[in-house]
Amino acid sequence: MKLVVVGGGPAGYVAAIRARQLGIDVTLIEAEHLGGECTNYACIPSKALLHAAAVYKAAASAPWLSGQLSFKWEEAARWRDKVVERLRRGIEFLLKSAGVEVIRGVAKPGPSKSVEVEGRRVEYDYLLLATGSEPVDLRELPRGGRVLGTREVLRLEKAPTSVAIIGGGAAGVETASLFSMIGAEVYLVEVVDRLLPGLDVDVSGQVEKALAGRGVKVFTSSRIVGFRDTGGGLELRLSTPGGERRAEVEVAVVAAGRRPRLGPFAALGLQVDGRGAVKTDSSMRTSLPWVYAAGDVTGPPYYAHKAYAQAKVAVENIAGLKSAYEPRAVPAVVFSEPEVVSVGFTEEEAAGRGYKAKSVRIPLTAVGRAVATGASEGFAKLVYDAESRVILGVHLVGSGVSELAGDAATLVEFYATVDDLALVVHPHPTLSELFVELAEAALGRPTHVAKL
Amino acid sequence: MEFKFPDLGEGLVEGEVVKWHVKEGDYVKEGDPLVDVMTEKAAVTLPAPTSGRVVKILVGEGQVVKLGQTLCVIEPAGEAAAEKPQTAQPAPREVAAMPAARRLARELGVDLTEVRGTGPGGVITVEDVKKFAEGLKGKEAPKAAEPPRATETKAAEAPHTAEAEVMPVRGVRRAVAEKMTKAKRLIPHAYHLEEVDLTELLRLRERLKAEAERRGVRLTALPFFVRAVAQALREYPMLNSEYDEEKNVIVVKKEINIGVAVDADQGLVVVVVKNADKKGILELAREIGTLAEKARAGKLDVQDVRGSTFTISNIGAVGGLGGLSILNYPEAAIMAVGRAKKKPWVVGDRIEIRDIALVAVSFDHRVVDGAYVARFVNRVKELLERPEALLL
Repeated sequence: MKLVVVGGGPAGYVAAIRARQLGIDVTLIEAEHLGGECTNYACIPSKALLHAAAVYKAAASAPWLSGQLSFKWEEAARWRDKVVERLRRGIEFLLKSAGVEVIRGVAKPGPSKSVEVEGRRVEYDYLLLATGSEPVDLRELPRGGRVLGTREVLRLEKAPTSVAIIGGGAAGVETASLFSMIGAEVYLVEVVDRLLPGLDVDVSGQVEKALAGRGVKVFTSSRIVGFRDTGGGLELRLSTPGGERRAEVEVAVVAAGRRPRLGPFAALGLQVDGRGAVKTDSSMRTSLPWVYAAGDVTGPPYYAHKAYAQAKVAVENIAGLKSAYEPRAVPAVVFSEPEVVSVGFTEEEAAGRGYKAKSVRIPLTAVGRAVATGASEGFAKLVYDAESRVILGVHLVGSGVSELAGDAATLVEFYATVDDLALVVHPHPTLSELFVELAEAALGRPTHVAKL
Repeated sequence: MEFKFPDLGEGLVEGEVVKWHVKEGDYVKEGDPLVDVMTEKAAVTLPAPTSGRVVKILVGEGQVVKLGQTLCVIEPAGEAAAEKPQTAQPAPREVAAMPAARRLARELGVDLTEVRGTGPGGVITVEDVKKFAEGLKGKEAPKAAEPPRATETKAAEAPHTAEAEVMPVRGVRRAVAEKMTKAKRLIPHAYHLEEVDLTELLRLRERLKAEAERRGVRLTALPFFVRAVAQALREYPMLNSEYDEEKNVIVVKKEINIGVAVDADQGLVVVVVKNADKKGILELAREIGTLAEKARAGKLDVQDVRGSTFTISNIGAVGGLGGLSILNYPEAAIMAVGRAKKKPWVVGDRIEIRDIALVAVSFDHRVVDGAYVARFVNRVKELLERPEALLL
């Protein structure tokens, strides 16, 4: 059996490795860099820079350190490149040792079951489209010059002193956190009435408060109505609930979301939904029985971990195994400062699905470790079913909570009850204690919260 | 509205979706062919229950559906215009099962809504799924004939097999595979053989052929077999029965419905002649002819293949001495008739050239013993060798 994978991002490379594990002959075609958007332009470089910025911010604000500190963007950029390079090479190595044939170039559909790339024709029994997504542009603020996309802003040669970010989703909030930590003047503009609109309302409120506390000028229910390049910078006109505002910034970043990208494979005539995402069944099969799709091209959420999971399911089905992509909880993590985790249902979603939804919330000040590391800003929230006491959702805001997202997903996937969770001994002093505290709060007997 | 796999009666609890006549987004008229489903017994075309738009197809081709499972969602014509997200309606509660249990259930074809969870809060564990699957096996072994692709190692090996072609087991092949496995696994088969002199019967048929043709019927030997068996079964009703493993009882059927195995293009299909003991040769011939034609055209209705109580396999149509059939589960007996061949035969004290066929009855030894079957076969032999009686 022969599989051709188009795209070497999180969906594509994971699919290729899984296919080799199942004894399938695989050719992977990548137009740019292995690792795709995630490794080269988004998740990984942004985490490297956020780490650099957080180290600076922590050191610069620690009273027990003395001396003048300055953030060297060029050095941070070198660190970023080193990290990206290392992970990209890691993927190359993994594919090579798995025995995946990698072709560089832009693939397009060939006659019958084949693709064409670099003048070569590769025939297949099955095709996996992992062609990813592309940024959505704003008509009011076209990219180019001082108007950057999320890729370009991470590749700036020097740090801007002021930046306006259009879009208060995960990428926008992370970018705002990055530049606010290194001392830039930051505007964050979101058209909806709150930041991180898809997540829990309390989460949005906490993040907005935290960013504002770091000097970020947050404008919700606002949009760009005009802009002018003044030569030395950009002058943006914003329509806000408080009237029209002007902002002068060095650069603007458009972070208005992403959309699925099929590229030349649109010619296959696969069924797509309204936003152009390839429709698949739970086995990740498209409307053509020999074509599967995984990752961003299947639509939101645009997460690498979703792409990994879908890719494995697609290949397992191609190999004849019965496997389905039907997770109960796909964790959402925002690497802002403070970080955000959202797993499973919000209270409103759970109620809408017929659960007797209840929630409890505790402040991070209840957790000793959070206080000791100066990271007690934030909260933890647990959504559960009052009848079965099964945990339905976990929502966290706080420094370092991203590392708890996997545990939260485990709780939801394993249908853990609040009673179970309360009985699991969690190590002290760690942030993970917030889980016990939440469970006990749900049982009406929290130890480290005086009053709910 | 949700279109659910309807109850087609007679213990048909699952089917395999063979072909969708529509795709998502298509408009259908009430009664239009919607989907072809292969049940244990035949391919059935299910019509659209209402006019409207097919919003969602939930079961792909090649997948097995259970009784009551939703096949697709149709938005009735009147509502189609007002397309809106269904947020107001609370979704049905999902079945609580651990991740590995969910995966195992999919591999084993277990419907999680039927499994009782023993985990905390009633969560279904891997153990629960395993136990449920074993229970199924013991009861009716529906998954026994599942193609052996469900385990990872097997599937991993398949692509390496350069010397062999790996074929998916689908449609009639799968139905046959599942049924045969079940019958052989659950029923202790025993066999009784007898040679029958068909000379007189074939002569009689020759004489009646032209007259039958005038009445629009092609007369073969098969309706005589059906008639003889139906008549003999009235005298030997224990072979018109089934053994109920669950209750450990023998159920003797009042109606005598004879299944006739037909070699259709897509494989073996058993069509059913109802109340065969109450029908004349000509009527039987006409009915078998129509059913066989429908089977070969793949146009059988559910009732054409349902409810047989005894099966006849006319294996002699192709050739060979004869054969030992596997029982048509859950029936207690099946009769295979071999090809009539000219043989030197002792008639009285002389040797004559006669048309001799081997008749083999396979039977469920839990229901009857060999002597009973021998007497039944003697009676069938008698009727076939003096065929005038069959015309009465």
